[in-house]
Formats: sequence, structure tokens, C-alpha cells
Amino acid sequence: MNEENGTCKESKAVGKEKKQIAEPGPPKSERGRLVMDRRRFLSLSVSAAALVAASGGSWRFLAGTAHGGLDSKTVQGATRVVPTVCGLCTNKCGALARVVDGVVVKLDGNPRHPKSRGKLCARGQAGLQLLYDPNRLKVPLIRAGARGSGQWKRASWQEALDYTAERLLQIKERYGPQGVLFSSTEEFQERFFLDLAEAFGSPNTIRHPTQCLVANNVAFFHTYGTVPLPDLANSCLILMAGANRAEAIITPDTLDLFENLHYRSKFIYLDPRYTVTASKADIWIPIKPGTDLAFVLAMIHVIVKENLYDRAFVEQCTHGFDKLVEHIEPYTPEWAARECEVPAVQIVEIARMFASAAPRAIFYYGRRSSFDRNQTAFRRALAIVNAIVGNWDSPGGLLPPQSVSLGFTLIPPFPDIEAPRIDGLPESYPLNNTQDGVYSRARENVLKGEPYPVKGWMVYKQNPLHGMPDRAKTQKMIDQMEFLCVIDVLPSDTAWQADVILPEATYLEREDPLHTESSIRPHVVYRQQAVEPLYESRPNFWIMKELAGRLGLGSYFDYDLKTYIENQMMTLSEEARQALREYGVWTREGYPKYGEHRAKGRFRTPTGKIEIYSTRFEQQGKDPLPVYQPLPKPPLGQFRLLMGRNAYFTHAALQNNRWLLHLYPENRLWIHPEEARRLGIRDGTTVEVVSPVGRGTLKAYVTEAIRRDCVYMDHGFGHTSPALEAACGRGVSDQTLIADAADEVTGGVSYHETFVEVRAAA
Amino acid sequence: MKQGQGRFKRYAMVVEVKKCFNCKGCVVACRAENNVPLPISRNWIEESGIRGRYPFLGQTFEPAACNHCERPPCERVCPTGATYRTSEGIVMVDNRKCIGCKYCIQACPYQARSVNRRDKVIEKCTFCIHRLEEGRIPACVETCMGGARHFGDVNNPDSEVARLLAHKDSYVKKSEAGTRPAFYYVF
Amino acid sequence: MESFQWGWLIMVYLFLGGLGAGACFVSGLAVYLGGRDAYRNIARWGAYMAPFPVMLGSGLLVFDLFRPWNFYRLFLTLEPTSPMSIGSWLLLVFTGTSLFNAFLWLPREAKERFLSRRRLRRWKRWLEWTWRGDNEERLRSVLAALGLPLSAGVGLYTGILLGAIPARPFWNTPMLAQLFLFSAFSTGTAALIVLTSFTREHALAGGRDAKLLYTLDILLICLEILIIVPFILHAYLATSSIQHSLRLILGGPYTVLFWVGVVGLGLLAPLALEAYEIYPMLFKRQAHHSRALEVASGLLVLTGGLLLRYVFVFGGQMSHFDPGAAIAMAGGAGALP
Repeated sequence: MNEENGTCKESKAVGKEKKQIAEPGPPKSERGRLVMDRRRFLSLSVSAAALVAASGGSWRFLAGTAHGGLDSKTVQGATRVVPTVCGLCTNKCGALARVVDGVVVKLDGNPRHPKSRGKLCARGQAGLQLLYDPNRLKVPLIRAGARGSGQWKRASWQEALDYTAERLLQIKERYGPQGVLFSSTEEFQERFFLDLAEAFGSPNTIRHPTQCLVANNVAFFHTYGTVPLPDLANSCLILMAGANRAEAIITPDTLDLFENLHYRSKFIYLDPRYTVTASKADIWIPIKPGTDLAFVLAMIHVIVKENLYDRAFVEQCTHGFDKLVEHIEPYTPEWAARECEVPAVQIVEIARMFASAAPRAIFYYGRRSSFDRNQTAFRRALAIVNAIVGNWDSPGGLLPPQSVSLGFTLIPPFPDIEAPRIDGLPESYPLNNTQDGVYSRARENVLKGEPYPVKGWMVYKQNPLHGMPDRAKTQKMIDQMEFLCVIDVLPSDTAWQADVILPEATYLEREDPLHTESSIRPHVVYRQQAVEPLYESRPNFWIMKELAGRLGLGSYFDYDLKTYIENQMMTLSEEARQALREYGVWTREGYPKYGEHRAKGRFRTPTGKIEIYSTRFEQQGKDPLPVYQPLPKPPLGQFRLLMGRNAYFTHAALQNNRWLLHLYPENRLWIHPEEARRLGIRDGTTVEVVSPVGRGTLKAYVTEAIRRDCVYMDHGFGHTSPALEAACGRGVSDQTLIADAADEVTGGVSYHETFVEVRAAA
Repeated sequence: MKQGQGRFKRYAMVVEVKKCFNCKGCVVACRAENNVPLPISRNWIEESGIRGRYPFLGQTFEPAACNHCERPPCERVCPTGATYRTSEGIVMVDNRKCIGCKYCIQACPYQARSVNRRDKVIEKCTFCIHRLEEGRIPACVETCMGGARHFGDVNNPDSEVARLLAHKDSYVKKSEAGTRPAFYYVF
Repeated sequence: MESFQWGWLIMVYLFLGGLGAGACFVSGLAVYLGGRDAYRNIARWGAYMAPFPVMLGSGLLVFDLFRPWNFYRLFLTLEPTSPMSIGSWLLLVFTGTSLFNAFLWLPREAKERFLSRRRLRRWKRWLEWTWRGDNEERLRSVLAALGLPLSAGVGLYTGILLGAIPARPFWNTPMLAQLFLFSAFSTGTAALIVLTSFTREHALAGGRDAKLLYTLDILLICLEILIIVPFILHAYLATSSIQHSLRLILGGPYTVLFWVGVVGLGLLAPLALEAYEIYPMLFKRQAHHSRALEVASGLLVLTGGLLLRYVFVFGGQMSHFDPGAAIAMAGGAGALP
């Protein structure tokens, strides 16, 4: 050990010493914490009471000083490593929380997790800032002034839950249980919210798929009998349309794509916008928005006409190929070239490349499929083009998804629900999953009050004002509610409108039920509690149980979470259980597997085969084969508005995270330089965007990276809740501008069908 | 592989530029790992911006931080010897000696150093030396989603970094400065 | 990363440090040239003036540190590759010697009175020998001699400190040290021009001390001009980053400040004034003698010196090694050619 190293160690220790900041905040010991918390909140409620008396209660309860935790952390001291699962987006990457003296100091990826493989993206790493966000919901709040005025009364849990149950029962009495809408977004404790809805007797559960992936799911499900997963890691040719994997991260797809880049695979990417993914592709095709379906139909045309398809597989495992041959006759590359503004020779070449690389070729379909009226047909075409080249259950192709079956907890059978759903499912959209609902139809009917009034709304982990197009309409929907209760971790725009806000504990403060994610490597994750819930936040299970008790539905929650989890574990081997407790994840060995399913040749469809020609679609009066509808053109001088996202935020959820906001403080309007010049817009100056349903101002980003006929903005900005002190007022919400449009097969929102005018603002 | 007493380690970072897709996971990981206060950062991504004319466009992302130069200008100009280089090539700051004159910040050609006003120290990448001592890799490397970052002892011919540098064309930033950085970029 | 790490404090220190060094130099020169009697006034006031701007400037430097409690560490080591380390030792020695020198130049009665204070009586016994007999004159000569290299060191090192930084191309030219040196001496001279114009002895000296100061200042200004010209030429013909950095004063944000402020007001205008004051001597006539002009030309030089340091301290930090950054900081590609 030479002297220099000795100095180095010494000085590092001393240097670190200097870095300790003695800031006020909860003391380090965990035991002391709870006492301190209570004392703190006693003092808070005293001052709160005074404030209530004075002002009727202001939103300042939602604001607050930073929790002493982060800034006063040191890396010395006893470290506990707690396996958890990142909760900042839908990927559920395994993470390891390093906890020192009751403070989470760092989140690392869990190397054993088959999807994330030891990595965490910027959001995952910034999870600390969610836990310690000064604007977090800390205490239950009851509205004390007009809706949206920001006047709150700080309530105890007892009060808030009593009040909520009372209002819900009132609505049940007057309008029936169907008078309450239960909308939620997926997470490990969402199950309990949906159970409460069913126990309550309301058929009206709405989740997010119709704002995102419903077209994808419906199209693939009715083709393959399941929604397959791509084996990108082993693929030699990857075609991607609009799935911006570099900025809309999906694990392991994003990791597989980049690992493979310039190595095994050729990567061809279609997008009207030059995204980061486009910059990594071997070929970027600046396709005209809304015409992806034409491109794929032409590809199918070439593959069929030139006999490049997998004849044996098609004959053995598919149904309806002969009808396909007839159907794609008019969809020639020349025709597609005119629609897509892509040269016909390129379409032909790509079709040939794709077919010759098959079965190690994938036309990747991603997740979000909420673009335009063609979306379901487009996804069906993707399902078909993958099927006919025979990449099913083959290395580098599409694989049947695998999950692990977990044990369950017996609860009493739910009551029969007589009332029809407010969105008319299943009749209105028979191809959809009923429980997910159709948001746009539901909203429409709620506003009309038909077939019955819906006056209560329970929202769990959702922000409809930011998720649904035509924000003004969503606001009307809120306004006509008699009771709105939001369960969340941050004071979102929707929470700001609520009658009752209930603070949920974040993922780092909870132990959650086991979860198995549909994957090509079946695995189970076990999220363990890293720290005790801060402030007065509680896990959703507790909230649901308490509410259920007050609603007379206690028998449905007559268990505790520990038991629930134990029951889940019962179907797993001891080895698996050990792995879950110690590492937070257990993966079944021997995957991905290839060929087993293909050999059997049986699919969960009416014909038992891959339905190129969908009998179910036909049955329901929809096109059994994908039919192309050209989109209307924007009027002269207007642009098609495109929206999307970047790698730093999850939709509208994380803009208040200061570490992430620092990377990307606001959204801008992407506009081509020629168009900008024509309109007198310079880069960085403010522009006004006007659509048929709203308007907004934001800065312009003049860039060559977008076509002349469209403009683009990131989703998720334009928060109006003043309690989100970092995010409020930054940028504009795309949903203020986007008009309500949906595809008629699934009712899924079409976010890219709105035309806007752009003007330079003063 | 030569087993010699005189052979020192030289830690180096090698970045496959094509794989960096600007997720900025490394920036946030570093901030969390090293308790770096806003608004400064120890590391960042150099964004080339959009090159070219639609539709013939290009864009590159280059992660950057302290280059841990073999001949660090910051070490040369430090008036108290607070900035020094370990035997493994990591450029560090001894806070007992640092007076806060900021001369090192002026001297660094890579703008890799900044003043941490909260803690009153110089903030710069240390290759997560505290993790290296535990046998772990730097936080940025661990979390790199594109698999672009590679780290190791470049003097060990069997290491991943040595092999990458042997096999591929590489460059360093501002080689004309004569600093001999330990931060390499490969195509 | 993009903000200025060194600001007003550094800029003012460079100015004050230069001023003090210049005063010390002029004082030493006056001793050398003037033997025992002539130029005494200059020597005396130069000696008085030398230490205090430097001490004040050093105070500003310490104030600029963000870990000032450690500043004594500067004197626990000497880092030969660090101009700042060498400079801080130089400042220390300079301060000590120039303070002592200032003390030496006090009239005897003043020394006696000063040291008669209760707390300083101990020191009186130690220091009495300095004004016994010839010692005073001898010591003054020794210290004047010492002062010459020391003041050159202090004047030069600030330019070296900046010039040694390739990461700031605007600084990284071989001319900077000399420019700063001559500017330092010039500001010192100018300060003395202003200061001595108010003293009794000045009127009595009949303009001979003004003549020395003017001549010296004219010489120094010419030398500065003769440095700026090759500075620009060489920078223009140097590596692209240095060339780019030149645009800061050729069309960039510091153009007016440099050419009007530093060159016009700080060099050419005082040159003209001082030449006017002095030119009659060419025809063996008495030089002009106007306090107004003395003060005016002195203040002009001082302003120019301050502005020179402003342009270099701030402009230099703008000129990061990456020319793109320099252009961006200067307000976009439109601001520079």
C-alpha cells in the first residue's frame, strides 16, 4: 500500500466528513423518526388549525420544506440493501435500495432482474426525489372551498375515510353503485382498488389501455390468441414504426436493441420525427404520419406476391392466407409510395430484406398504439406480416409470453352487478377487455348522463386531466361530479380538483404483493419496504381495507397483506421463495424457450390457428383484414399535432421531480425551419398553438428533425396545480390542444388526429 | 499477462458513442451516488444537436466528465497541492488542502470541475473511487442502459477496456491539449 | 460550468496588485537614478504606496476563496508548477519588504513617534538601528534594489497565471505576461503622477520628478502598444481556438471596451496628454506643468488598466477551449463573424 493510496483514503474520509450538512430534519434513527413525525405533525395541525380559522385552509399544506433526508445523507453508517421494484413507470425494473439510518441514499439496478439487468434509467435513479419530494401529499385533505380553489382542510385519516365512505354511500343510495366511477392505473396494489369497485357493485372500472395500448392488444390478441413478446436480443432485422425505444424506454427491449446495435441486427425505423431512436437506426424512414398501415400492407403485398413468405408455417399454423392474397392486391408499393411519401423501391427492398432475414426478423410493434383511426388495422397488419414470415416461437422472432402462476387469497364472491357499464362494454367494443373500459366513451356518456348518471369518481394513481384529450371536456366531467376522491402521491392537477385527497405511500415505503410480469423470461418480483411511510401516507391496501370497512364491505378485505403475500408464495418452490426474500426477484430457468408452442401448432383463437383473417373481427362486424383509410389532410397553413415523450419523464407524473426537471425544464413545439421562417418564428421564442378545442403558448424548437406538415410536443407538461411547485406553469399540456378522437374498433384514443394553427406570440 | 510489481493500474472509461442514447441515467445516478447538489453536475452528455438537412440527419451523444488526465492541468496549477493524481490514475481533491481559489476550474480544458456551493468543495468525477474500493464499478457505468460505458484497468491487456481500445478506432477530447485523458470514445 | 468563476474581486486584485508593484518599481528606480537627493519625493511616495494596494488586493483574493479558512495552506508548500503558488509567496515577501520599506521612508520623527506607542516599544529597540547614521540610506538602497525584482515578479506573475492556461485561449498567448507587467508598472507610475501632484515637494521640485514619471509612463505605454500589436497578430496566426478567442475583442462583446476603453482612454489619450506635457523638453525648454493634466492623464491610465483587467478576466473565461462555446457564450453565431 503506497503512501499515495494512504493519503487518498484518508482524505476521502475527511473530505466526506466535510460533506455532512447538519440540516434540520427528522433524526436519523428509525425509531425516533415516528415520534418526531408525530410531534411534527401535531405542530403542523396546530398551525393548520390556526390557518384554517384564518383562511379557510390553503394549499400550503401540500407544499413544504424538503425532507431533511436527502441533503443530510452521508455514505457512512450502516447500509441496508433492500430489494424493491422501481415504480416510476410501467417497466417495473428490479432495483436495490440502499438505506442508511432510515434514509434511502441510492437506488441501484438489481443485476438479477431479467428485464433491467442491473440498470436503472434516469427516472429510476431519481426515485429518491419522489420519496423526498417536498410537495408530496403528506396528510389527508378535504376540500374546504370551491372545487379547484385550492382551499383544503387538513383531516385525520379517520375523518377523511369516514367522509369518503359517507359520500360514496350517498351516491350509491341515490344513483346506485354504478353511479361511482373507479378509475385506476396498474401497479402492485391496484388489485385492491378494483376489488373494492367490484365489491361496491359498480361495473365502471376504467384503466389506461384505451389511452395507450388497446389497439395493439386487441389486434394481436385476436390474431395470435395472445399478445406475443419480441425476442429482440436474437433478431437480425428489426423494423420499428414509431416505437421510440431510446426515449420511450421498455426493458428489456431497449437494452436488447442497443446491445445488438451494429452487431447482429440491422435496424430500420419509421417515424415522421427524427427521434433519438432514428439517429441510431441503420435506416430512418421519414414516413408521413398516419400512413404506416399503407407501408406494411405494401410489404405484405411484396412478400405474398414474390412468394417470400414461410409457406410451410402459413399452411400449418395460419388461417385465412388465401383471403389475404386477394385482399392485398390493390395495396401495391407504388400506391403506398404515394400515401407514405416513401420511394416504392425502398418499400420493396425492405420487404425483401425482412423476408430474407426471417425468421430472425421482427416488425416490432411496441406498446403505445394510440395514434390515429388506422391504429387497430395497422396493428393487425403488423401481426400478419410477422406471422407470414414464420417468426413465431423462433429465435429472434415473436415468442409466447410467459408468466408464473401465483397463489391467491380466497375472498367472498363479488355481488352480481345488474347495471350495464357506462361505456357500453362489452357490446359497444366487443373485442376489448371489458374491465379496462373505454375512457372516451365513458366520458361522453357521463357528460350526457346516459344511460344513467355517474356522480362519484374514485381515482387511484391516475391523472385524467393530463391523460385524456380535450382537457376542457375532462374538466366538465369533473365539474359535474358530486364527489371526487383522488388517491395519489403528488398533488396532481386532478387531485387539485378533488373533494378528498388521500396520500398514498410511495413504492419505496411499501411492501407489495408479488408480481409476475409477462415476459419471455418468466419471473416474479417481490417489492420490499425500504423505509417507513413518511408523513401520514399509507399503502393503498390499508386505504381500501379501511374504506371497505366503512362501506360495509369489510368481508372482502378480511385479510392482511402479509397473508396475501404468503398465499401468493404458496405455489412457488422454496428456492423461489428464498430468492424472492433475499434478492427480490426469481426467474424460472431455461428461458427463453423456442419451438414448443410452434410444434403444438394450437392457438387460442376460434379456428385454433393464427388468424390472419380474424373471425372474431368479422363476427363483430369489423374488417376481418386490415383496410386502409387515408387520413384527412391538414388545411392549408395548419399542421398535424404529434405528441410523444422523452426518457426523463413518465407521461405527466414526474415533472415535479427536481432532478429530472433539471435535465429538461419544459416542452417545446418542434417545427421545421422552412415553416418557422414562413411564420416568422425563431428558435426559442414563444409561439401560440391553437386547436379546435384549446390553445396554449410555449417556446418553439426550430429543427430539421420533423416533417414540414406536422409539429410535435412532448406530453405531460403544462401542470396547473400550484402545489407542484417545481412543475407548475412549465410548458403546455398537449391534452389542452388535442381533440377527442378514437378508433372505431377499440375506442382507443387517437392522439394524432388534431390539426393546429401556429403563430408567433408577442 | 505480466505480473509485475512495478506495473500500476490505470483506470479508464471507454464509451461506445453509438450506443449512448441520451437517457441521462448516468447523470442522475452520479447525482444520487455522490450527493451532488443542483444545479451542478459531475457528468453530462455532450449533445451534438441535429446535423444536416431533413431527411439526411445525424445526431451524436457523448457522455463526458472529468477525464482523469495523465497530465492534468488542474494538478499542475493547484497552489496547495490539493489536487493530486492517485497511482491508479484517478485525479482527486484533498479537501484538507483546498483553499477554493478555482484556479483548477480555469485550467481544466474540459470544464469538468465546478464549485459545490452547498458543501464548499470542488465537485468533480472521482470514478466513484469509494465504489472501486468495494470492488464495484462507477455508478454511471453500472446503470448505463445503452451499454455504452465500459470501465476498467486499461493497463491490463485482458480487460474489457483494453480490448475495446485495441480493437476499435478511438479518440479523446482535445488531444491537442496534451493532457492524455483516460476517457476514450470509440465508434 | 458556464458562469464566471473569477469575477470582480479577481479583476480588482489584479489591478491593485499591479498598482502596488508598479509603485514599488518606480520607487526603486527613483532611488537608483536619483542618488541621494533628486527624485526623493517619488521614491518616498512610491514606497508609501506600494504595500497597501497589494495588501488590500490580497485581502480581496482571500475573500474570493470558497474555503478561506484553509488559505494558510498556501504557505505550507511551494508548488513550482503553479503560478499561483509562486505568486502567493511573492506577494507575501513583497508585502513584508514593501511594508518595511514604507516604514523606512518615514521621516525620523515620524518613526520615533510611531514606535513610542506602548505596544510597539519592544520593536523600537529592534528597529532603532535602521535610522542610525548611514543605515537609513543604505537600507533604503538595499530595499530599493530588492524591490525591483520583487515588483517585477508581482507584476509578471499575474500575467503568467492567466497565460499558463491553454483551456482559456484568450489568455494562452506568450504576450500576456509582458502586457500585464508593463500595464502594472504604468498604473503604478500613473498613480504616483496623481499622488505626487498633490504633495508639497512636487511644487518645489520644479517639475523634475514629473518629468521622470512622465517619461517613464510614456515609455511604458509605448511598450504596451508594442505588445498589443503583436498580441493580436500572433493570436490571429495561432491555433484556431486562440484565433476564435480573438473575436471577443474583434467584433465580440468586448470590442468597444477594449478599443475605446483600454486602448483609447487607457493608452492613446494619456500618451497624448503626457507627450504634450513633455514635448517642450525636446526643444530644451521647460516642460509644461499642470496639475489638472497630471491628474487627468494619471486617471486615464488607471481607468485603462482597470478595464484591461476586466476585459481579460471576463473575456478570457468566455473563451473556453471549445470555440463553439465561446461563440455560444458571446450570444450566438450572429454575434461573431
